[in-house]
Amino acid sequence: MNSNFIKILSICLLTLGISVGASAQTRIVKGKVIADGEGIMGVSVKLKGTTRGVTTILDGTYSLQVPESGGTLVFSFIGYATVEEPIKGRSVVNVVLRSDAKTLNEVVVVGYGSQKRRDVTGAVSSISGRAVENTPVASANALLQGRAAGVQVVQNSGAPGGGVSVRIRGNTSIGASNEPLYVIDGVPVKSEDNSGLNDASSGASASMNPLASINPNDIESMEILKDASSAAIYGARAANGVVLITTKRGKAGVPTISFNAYTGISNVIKRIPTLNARQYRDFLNEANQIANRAPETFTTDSLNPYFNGDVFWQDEIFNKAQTQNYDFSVRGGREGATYAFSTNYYDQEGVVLGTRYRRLTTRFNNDFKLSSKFSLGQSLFYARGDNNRTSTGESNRSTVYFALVKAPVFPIYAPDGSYIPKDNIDRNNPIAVADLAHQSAITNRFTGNVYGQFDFNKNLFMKTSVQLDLENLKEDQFFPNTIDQSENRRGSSQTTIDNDVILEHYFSYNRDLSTNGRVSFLLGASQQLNKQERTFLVGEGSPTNDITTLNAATLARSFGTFETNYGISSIFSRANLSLLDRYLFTFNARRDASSRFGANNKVAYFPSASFGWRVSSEPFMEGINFLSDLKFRVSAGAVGNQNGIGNYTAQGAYRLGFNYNGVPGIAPATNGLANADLSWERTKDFNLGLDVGILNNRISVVLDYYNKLTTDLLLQADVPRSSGFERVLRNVGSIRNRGVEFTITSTNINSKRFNWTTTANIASNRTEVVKLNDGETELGVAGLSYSLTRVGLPVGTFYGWQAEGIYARDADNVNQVKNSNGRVFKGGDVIFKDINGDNIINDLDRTIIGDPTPDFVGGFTNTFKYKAFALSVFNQFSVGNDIYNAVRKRQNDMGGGNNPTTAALDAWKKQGDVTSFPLLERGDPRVQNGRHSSRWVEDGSYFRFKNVSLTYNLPTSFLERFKMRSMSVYAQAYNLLTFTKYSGFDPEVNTYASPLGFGVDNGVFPQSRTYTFGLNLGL
Amino acid sequence: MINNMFKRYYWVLVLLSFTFGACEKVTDQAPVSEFTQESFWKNAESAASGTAAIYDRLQTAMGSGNSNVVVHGDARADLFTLGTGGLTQASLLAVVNNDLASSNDYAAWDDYYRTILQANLVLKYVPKISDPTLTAALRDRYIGEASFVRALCYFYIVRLWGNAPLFTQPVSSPTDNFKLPKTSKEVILDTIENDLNRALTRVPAITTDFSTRLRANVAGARSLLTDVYLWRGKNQQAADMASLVINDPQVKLATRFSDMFHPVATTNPFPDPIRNNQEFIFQVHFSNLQLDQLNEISRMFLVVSNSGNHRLAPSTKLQSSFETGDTRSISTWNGDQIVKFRGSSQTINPALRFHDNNIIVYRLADIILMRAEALAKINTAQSRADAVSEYNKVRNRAFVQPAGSPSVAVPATITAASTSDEIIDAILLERMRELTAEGKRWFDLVRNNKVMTTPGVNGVSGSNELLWPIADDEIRLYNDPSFQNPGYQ
Repeated sequence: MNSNFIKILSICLLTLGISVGASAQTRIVKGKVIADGEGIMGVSVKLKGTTRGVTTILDGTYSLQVPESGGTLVFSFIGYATVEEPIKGRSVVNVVLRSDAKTLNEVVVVGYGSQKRRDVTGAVSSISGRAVENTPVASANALLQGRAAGVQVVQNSGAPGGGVSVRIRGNTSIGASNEPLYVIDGVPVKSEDNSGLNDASSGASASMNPLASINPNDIESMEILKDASSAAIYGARAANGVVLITTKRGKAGVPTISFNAYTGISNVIKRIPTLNARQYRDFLNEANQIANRAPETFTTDSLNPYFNGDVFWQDEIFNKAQTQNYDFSVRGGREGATYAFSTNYYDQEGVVLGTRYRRLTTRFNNDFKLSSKFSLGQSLFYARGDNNRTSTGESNRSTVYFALVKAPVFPIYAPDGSYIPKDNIDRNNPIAVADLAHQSAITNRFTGNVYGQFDFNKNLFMKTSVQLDLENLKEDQFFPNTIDQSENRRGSSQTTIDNDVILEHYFSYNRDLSTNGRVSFLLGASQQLNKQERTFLVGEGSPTNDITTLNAATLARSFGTFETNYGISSIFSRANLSLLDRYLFTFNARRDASSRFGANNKVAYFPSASFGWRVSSEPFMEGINFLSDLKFRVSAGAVGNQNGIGNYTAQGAYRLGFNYNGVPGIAPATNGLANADLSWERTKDFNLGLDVGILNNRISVVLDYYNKLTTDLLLQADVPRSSGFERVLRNVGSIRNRGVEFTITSTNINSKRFNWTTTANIASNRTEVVKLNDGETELGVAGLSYSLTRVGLPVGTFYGWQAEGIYARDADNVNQVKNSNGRVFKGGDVIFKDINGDNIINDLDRTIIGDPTPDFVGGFTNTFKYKAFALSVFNQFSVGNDIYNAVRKRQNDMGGGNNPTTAALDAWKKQGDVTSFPLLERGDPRVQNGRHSSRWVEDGSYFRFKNVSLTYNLPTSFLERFKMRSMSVYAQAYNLLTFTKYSGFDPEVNTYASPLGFGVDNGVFPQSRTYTFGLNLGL
Repeated sequence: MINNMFKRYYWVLVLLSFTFGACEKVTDQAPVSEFTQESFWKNAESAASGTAAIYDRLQTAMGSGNSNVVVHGDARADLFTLGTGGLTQASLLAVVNNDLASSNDYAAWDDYYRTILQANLVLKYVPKISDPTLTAALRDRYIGEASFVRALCYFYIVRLWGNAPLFTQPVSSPTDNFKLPKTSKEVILDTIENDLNRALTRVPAITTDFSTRLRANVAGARSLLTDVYLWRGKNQQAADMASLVINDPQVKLATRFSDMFHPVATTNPFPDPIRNNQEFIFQVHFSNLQLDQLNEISRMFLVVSNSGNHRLAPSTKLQSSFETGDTRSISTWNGDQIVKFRGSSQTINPALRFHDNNIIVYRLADIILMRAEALAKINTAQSRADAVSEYNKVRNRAFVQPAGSPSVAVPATITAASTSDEIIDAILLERMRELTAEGKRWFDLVRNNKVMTTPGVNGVSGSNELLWPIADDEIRLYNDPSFQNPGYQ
């Protein structure tokens, strides 16, 4: 280490020592701090009004020099209520700490600072790191699920390291991102999926999650800023809310060393019943016969070794998978120099063959006080993620999709033991794809925040920080022609370097007013520069399947490097005023200038104001003792979303690659018309809140109502094609979200031996599209004809024909309703509702057939503690959302010779059959029974035991013998039980990234049940 | 006190202003890997690459899945039926049956207009570039090329959709007028002639360098002008213009048809295409050796492909139209496939193809037969005799047998004594055999008003149906049902 640094440090410490030594006569106070019936280590004991303090040692005892005159001792420990105890004349001061995670003095992290919970006037939810530690998921944002009111989290798939959709108070955007801004230890980090090799051909991406690189066990707390009052300080990126993640830092005292390890087994519980080989042959033969098509050799020639399989593909593609996690951390330090070091290894095999996610992280958080005026510190984080992926949807790399639709008659292996390639009906062998198709992604991520803080006096400080968020993503693919002989052994390699540098300064002024009030000001500025560089190579024509790197390719298909940048320059400020401890005012303002905005709209302003009234502190409330807290909150403000604008969209993009006969060509893209008016999406937000604490906060309730109107939505407006352009991005649309949120936390029983607490939240959000492109009331999404966004309805409703059963006999079609092609619906055909009553089923009869937005989402956690045992049961639910089961449609719509579900066994056979499955007609050419209709829409509501864990804390006597601070063992079940009517693998599913295509199941990697066993060790 | 504090800590402000000054321009970002409308048209290189992009757009207009010369120029006529891969393609079925609706995938004119936009950008900005390395000759050439391609695209538009919006300037801002009303086809045809006359004085002549035939050239502009004159009934001008092409020293008939198109052979069923015959006047170039330079033409016809079966198959009328000894037959079709365009073989699996044939826009046989048609329509004794003589140049060549094979007598057809109508019928039949799958047949029939009288053309019952409907999207965006072509409203 730098010796100068040590010198400075020792001078500082010396200075401190001198100042202490120079004070008056002292004496010693001793004591013991007890919590949960035992002495507790690491409690900070401070003499109020001084910097003098110690922490308790292993058995909870302490000893501190205090002035002869005594004073007041302040005992604080995270997760417990702080106790202030006047010494008076005593020499022994023992205290008991009460566990209370939600005292009003709890500190809540807010943008560029922190606040006491009692002073918060916006809508902020907090999740403590303790509540989510050891959860067997890779991603930090998955941990938000069910824990905070108004935060809807959908794990898009069960793929290790896979994408997660987070919606805070609904969809505020159609064309831009709906994901919140994540700020980790003050660094606004990127959460966009940078993958360039998501399979675009299928329209569906098995998206990756950049937040998977964060170690969940490093998290001290997560704060969710939900309303404009709390989020406006993040301005043009805050429209979807802000998630602040704070990682653990060291505390002065003896080092606390922790070691956590767990291992788990995951599997997919559910199988979707499909036909076996014999049933399939009968099915397809009948279907061909009805369609007047010749029988297929693969269903008639069952002696052929290529056609005589009987494979239940789902059993082949899913396997039991192991998860392992190891954490090691050391935290500690001395007064003025603290450190927190942690490292983590996480290894999750996917339940789908050939998938795996491994992660190695290390974090170093340090804080140094160099003098009474100057301190500095850093949060450094490095992670490497190693992901073996698979595709979803109907891409040629998909495994789950093909495991569902592929006919059982095709064996996996040929008689010679080799994989059977693409079959007679163009279906790849999913096992061959899982084993042979190479698809890997390696992420290296470094996030750092180095700060210096200068305290002008006890009220005013300035903080300067330099922040870096660097992500390096390398992806490789190779597709051998053993899977599909028509493939030309194509391989791709792509490296993306995404680099953010942020420079930030702010001044913060805090002062207690004489009359029980506080005032604080914040003024700061920041600049952020993002640079993304991409290198890509696509080649094919390799002479071999054995070398998957591109040096074997004989033909370059595409290659290049690409760089793109954006910058944001911001000024932000906040003023808080607390009068008489009951009138609370907060004002925020941010000015953002973004390089993405058009020249006519370069700068955006985002103000907000909020007011809180702590009724419980009013004199007239004195004596109403059961009500420990009562606070009304009201806030209004504006936030923005700049994500929908490409870096240079406003300037009009001329792209390369329009080459002709070796001459490079450059031309405007079809959406490349410059638009100097382009600007951010603007959300105006109004929030009403109520905080109630009863019986000394044993029960606390938070209630919020909000109304958000987002205007200037960025939409691609179609323009007449005769202009040569296709679309122009404009700020035209508008969308409204309204909702209520309710959270209750209750300590039901708190006796010496038994403790039972409950926290529960429920929220309901209504989204309504108010306006789309000029003159348009509907917006479709390319490639998804069954998703529609219509004015007056939520975003991305399902759209199609209403199916109302099956005609039992020809005569049941009394009106002789025809299909658009003139064919009359007969017995065995689906009864589609003739909306306009013209007896013709055509496009005019399509209607809204489902809504993927839930009516309610929420979760509750019950924690029971009995002696050394702790049981935590976390339930989570979603009510009223529909799922479009696109993969079941593909199984059962009679196209392509797909293997149907066993529902096809009940198919209509003859006049008079009352059934729910139409007649079997291959290709469905006559009346399109398999069209996009309500047949494929299902109720996606569910209630589940998301996580159940049982922990046993080993007794002190045992710990003392081995000189340990703590030790616990636990067993956990993740996704233990799910109650749902949904027929697919799991109701928590989402295939497409666009909010317009939300809630579609197209062969997604399913969620799995995971049992884990773990050990926590503290030294 | 404030003053005192300022004195003590003024360095903080100095530090702040220094750090922000260092990256002051963070919100002014110019693209690194692409250009903007503002930054692009600056020098000779931008003129060159802006012009190259016109041809790239033309490649898409003439050879893509939704817009190509086969669907727009041949498929509505009597040459094809659906292949097994086309049976499930409702839009293609509707084209072959002339059952067109505005929802048809091929009803979009988008790709022609994208090409026109690019040509308009070159015509607008290249004259303004002040770069000394952009010589007057180069500048003229780019303007000539843009004029030629714009004329070619408008000629397709006017023949396919009739009256249509006429953009001669690019739109440059979202506030510009995107909804131009239709311009009458005669005005568009006048514009096309003006464009071509401008091109003729600016584009280079064909030289011994074959690549001159892959971009706008004098003979190509004259060929297009011949086509336009013939379409407008300006027969004398058409015949005269065709003569200029025929007399071009760099343009000669191939000795044998097979010098341009490989016949089916068992020895090597998949030879790579012949690209550089001197008969070719203007081709749109494709090559698998260059990135993304493939087209959909051979994909329409071949069983051998990555995407399954062929979509179009030769009609029995086409199959039986070839007389004994006509060498074009074996180069044109085989079984249920059109084999004229087969693309290049892949190295890994020679059965698989890169779909990269050049698209032949004009070749000499086409021009000779157009001249013959114009002369037949002039209908004097001399012109009829000249027409037959031009016709025979192409017909006789078709019967030139492979080297070493015994010669075959050319069956007798029309003579100088035949009537104008007989000669025209014979020419159209010859054009069918000669130019199948080159995107000519439908326009031949429309030009001669023979769509409704030609056997094998399905489902056209009135002259409204000679035009295509305007695609749904465009009607929706104009928000005006009357913008649709008559008969499709």
